[in-house]
Amino acid sequence: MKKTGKKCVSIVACTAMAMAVLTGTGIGASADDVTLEVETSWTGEQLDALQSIMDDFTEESGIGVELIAPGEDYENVMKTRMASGDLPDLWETHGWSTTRYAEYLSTVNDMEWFDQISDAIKGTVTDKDGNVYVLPLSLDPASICYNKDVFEAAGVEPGSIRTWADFEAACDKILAAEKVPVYVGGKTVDNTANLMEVIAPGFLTNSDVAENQGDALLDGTFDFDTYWTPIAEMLQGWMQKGYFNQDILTASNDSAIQALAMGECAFVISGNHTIVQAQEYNPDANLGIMAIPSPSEEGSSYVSSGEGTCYGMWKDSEHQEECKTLLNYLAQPDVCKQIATVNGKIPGLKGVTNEDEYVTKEFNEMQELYKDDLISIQYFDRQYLPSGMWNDMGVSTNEIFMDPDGDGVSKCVESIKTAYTEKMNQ
Amino acid sequence: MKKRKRMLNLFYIPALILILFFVVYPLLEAFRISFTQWNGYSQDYKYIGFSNYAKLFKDENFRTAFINTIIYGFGSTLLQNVFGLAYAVFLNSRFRGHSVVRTFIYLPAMISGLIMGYIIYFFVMYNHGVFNEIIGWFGAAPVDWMADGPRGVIIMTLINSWQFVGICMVIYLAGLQNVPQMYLEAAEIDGANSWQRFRHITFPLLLPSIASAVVLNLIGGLKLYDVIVALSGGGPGFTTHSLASYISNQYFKAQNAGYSAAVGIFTFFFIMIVANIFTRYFNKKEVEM
Amino acid sequence: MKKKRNYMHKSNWWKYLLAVVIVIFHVLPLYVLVVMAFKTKTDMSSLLTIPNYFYPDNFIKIFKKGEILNAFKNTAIVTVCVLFLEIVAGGLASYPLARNKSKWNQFISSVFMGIMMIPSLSILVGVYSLLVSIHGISTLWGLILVSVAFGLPMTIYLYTNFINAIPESLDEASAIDGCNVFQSFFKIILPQLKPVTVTVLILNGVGIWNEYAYGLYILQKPKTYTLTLMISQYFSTGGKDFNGAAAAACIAIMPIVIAYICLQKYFIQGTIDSAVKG
Repeated sequence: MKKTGKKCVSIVACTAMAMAVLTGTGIGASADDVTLEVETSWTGEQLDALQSIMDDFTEESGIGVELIAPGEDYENVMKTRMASGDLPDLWETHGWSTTRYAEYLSTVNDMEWFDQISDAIKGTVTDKDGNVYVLPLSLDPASICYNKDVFEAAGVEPGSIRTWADFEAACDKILAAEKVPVYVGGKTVDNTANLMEVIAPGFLTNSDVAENQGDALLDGTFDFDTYWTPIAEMLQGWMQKGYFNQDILTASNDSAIQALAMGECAFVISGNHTIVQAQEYNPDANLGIMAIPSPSEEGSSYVSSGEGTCYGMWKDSEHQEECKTLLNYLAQPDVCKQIATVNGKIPGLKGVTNEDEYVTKEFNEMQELYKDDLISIQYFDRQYLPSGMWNDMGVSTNEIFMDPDGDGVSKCVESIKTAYTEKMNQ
Repeated sequence: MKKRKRMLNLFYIPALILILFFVVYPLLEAFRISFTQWNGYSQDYKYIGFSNYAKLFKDENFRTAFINTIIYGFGSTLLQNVFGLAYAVFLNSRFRGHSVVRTFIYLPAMISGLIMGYIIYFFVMYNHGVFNEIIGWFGAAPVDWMADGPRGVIIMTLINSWQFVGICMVIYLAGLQNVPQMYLEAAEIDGANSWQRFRHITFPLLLPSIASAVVLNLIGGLKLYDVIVALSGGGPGFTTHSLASYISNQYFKAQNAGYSAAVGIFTFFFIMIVANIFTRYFNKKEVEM
Repeated sequence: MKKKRNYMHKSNWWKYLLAVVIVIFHVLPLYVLVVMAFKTKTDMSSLLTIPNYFYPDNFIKIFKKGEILNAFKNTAIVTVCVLFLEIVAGGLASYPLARNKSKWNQFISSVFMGIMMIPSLSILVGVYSLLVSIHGISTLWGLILVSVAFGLPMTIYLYTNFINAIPESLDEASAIDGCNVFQSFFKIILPQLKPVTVTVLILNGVGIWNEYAYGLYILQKPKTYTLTLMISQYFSTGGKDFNGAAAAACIAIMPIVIAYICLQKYFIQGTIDSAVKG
């Protein structure tokens, strides 16, 4: 009796599980209606905003959109998908539309909005054959964000910082006012990489650099020992003088944003989106944007910019027409504006402006302030380094902070040199 | 009887199919990739012979990851067994409420290593972190706990041990309860002190438990990945990577898929050998007992 | 006897003290998690203090989004299917492994042991391209099959140890009675496997419930996310909301914690069986 009972139970359990397996396989099967797979690096509130834009699109066109948002793992996931030749219908190219992703994307040169792409970003997204692969909804200026209240308390004048020497003088004042001058969330390698991204062009590749290294970087003859060392030494100096937060190696990205929002630090060297995020913590935070100082008196301050939010379509997508419909939808001025604004970027299409937004206002104010000597450049690593160097740039920079009083600088240079040589040979 | 034995092999089929398909085939594929130079996604790659394996000997970061893996694996095995046994002896002394204590010690083992890593981040943070707050009560200056690689490795070994010590404890607790009270009482009458009783009666009887506990802990420790991802991401620099996290770092972040595959193959054989040594050792030991 | 009780009574105070210290030591992280989940994003007070206001909004927000319920469903499907397949395939494979002590079996056994210990990520590339070719990406069955393959060795290890302890004379007796191997297995061995099956359910179940590394690469569509994936989303995003993430983590670990507390006896017995029969 007991045995049969047990048997019954196990049979029922088996059937139930088998059913579960079957329904399990059901998931992932394609539906009848077209649903586009769109992969985005956005998360949180930005993602919610994007979702609602996509919902509106679905309502209007009847084309479904499934947003895939792997967050911090975005790049890794995209790489596995490229490796296996299984890409989403559309995806965000985060600065790599002409290099890493070009071989997988359709060109957009014949799209109706092609001529509307603003001049500020057109060069960045065009490859050497004149092809464009993405709809550039926004461009992303990389600069330095600062807290105005901290500046005032420390007696630093906005706009007075034109060279790194000025910057260091300002840092000393801020230290005297008992605030952290530069906050870096070094737990995320991106943030240390970004230091080099921002600082290196002034030393190496800007048009006003005397011994311009642009060609050397591109053809693999660049001499890291001679030219990368001064940059590393500057950061080493900052470390020794205590300009950084104590926990530079372990602070999260979030804590840097928080510190900026709460007026605990003066600078966060990062793009405009930092301001949007900081204001989520403290809506009253008084924040500004400044241009990147030059290493010399003669050099100009600069703002580097690159692809902001750009979407391209997979060339082998089964739903080419629907992809185009979605890109056309996104290219509408008010949609473009909304997408650019949600993470504090500048719209990438002509005639679309978001001037009333806090960040854009600040950005324009900065441009006004620096207008006599401001140059605009493209992202350093995308233009001059082989693909895949971003991580190496960050990890090698960490070496400086791990051993600022010893041979951190030489380890940093050694490490980035090795990575560069390896990647150039690939 | 022979036919019977042959028939018996049919039982392997489902398991073997699954393992051939999802482990052995990918392993061979990884083996092939380990001879290439490949960025991990592009359609073109080239065969470069044993260069990736040669690089293993030169790569300092690999050496660090290797040593860390050993620390994660053997360090947590040691800690978990020592503390697991201590907890078990303590709880076995049977005070009221000992089962509540057992419940709580075992509880963290239920939680994903990833989530645990995120939680522990709140402890080791420099600003407002729990550890710094606690040492602040005693007037100590805050410490940036994870900024130093070796200290980070120790902290993560401790976390892993702390989280899974309950498993060891439970195994030992059962082992202790299987030690016949009679033997211990007899030994006590013969004048053996408590250490002698433990050493000569309890410990040998615990040996099967020790074998299982060690194997289970080694598995967990040598594979450590989730906690590292959540807590340090392998940083600062490469100082806290385990082989597992280094593999994914080299594949995805550094775009050295070929090299990453070589590290993977190395890891595979290294751990296979360690596993075999341990099982052989314990099997022999048990036969001896 | 009387003397003994008296002795225990007197010296017990230090045990209670030690017990309290141990409990705090092991519960503190969960306490911090729960406290964080009930705080607002802008609350900068110590992580150890309980907020003096009641703020359930972090939880409400998560349930309003609704994703978590779907993630629950996915995690449950994956867990159930993986366990079922592991038990069937693992239970079967253990029988010859325990009964046949040939060189070949030794080899299979060491292969299983090796697989049990390797970080499954070491062969990620191969697994991923295989799944792509069989259209297993972003499907639960893709993750299920891969997890079963990697979880099998552990299952087999446990079952083999257990079957080793069942006297072989029982099979032999049944063989003499005219049973073939299948009948011997189903009549003699299978009915005795209940305790070790509970062990497998618990040890592997917890492992699968908490799976992260492979899920990340296999399950790319939000519809297929499991709980751990969702939690890592909450934690790893820029400009993040730690309190919201803490609330999500609380929800994700709740079922397993409740299951553990209610079925504690089985959890602990399972762990014990895995060891003692070994």
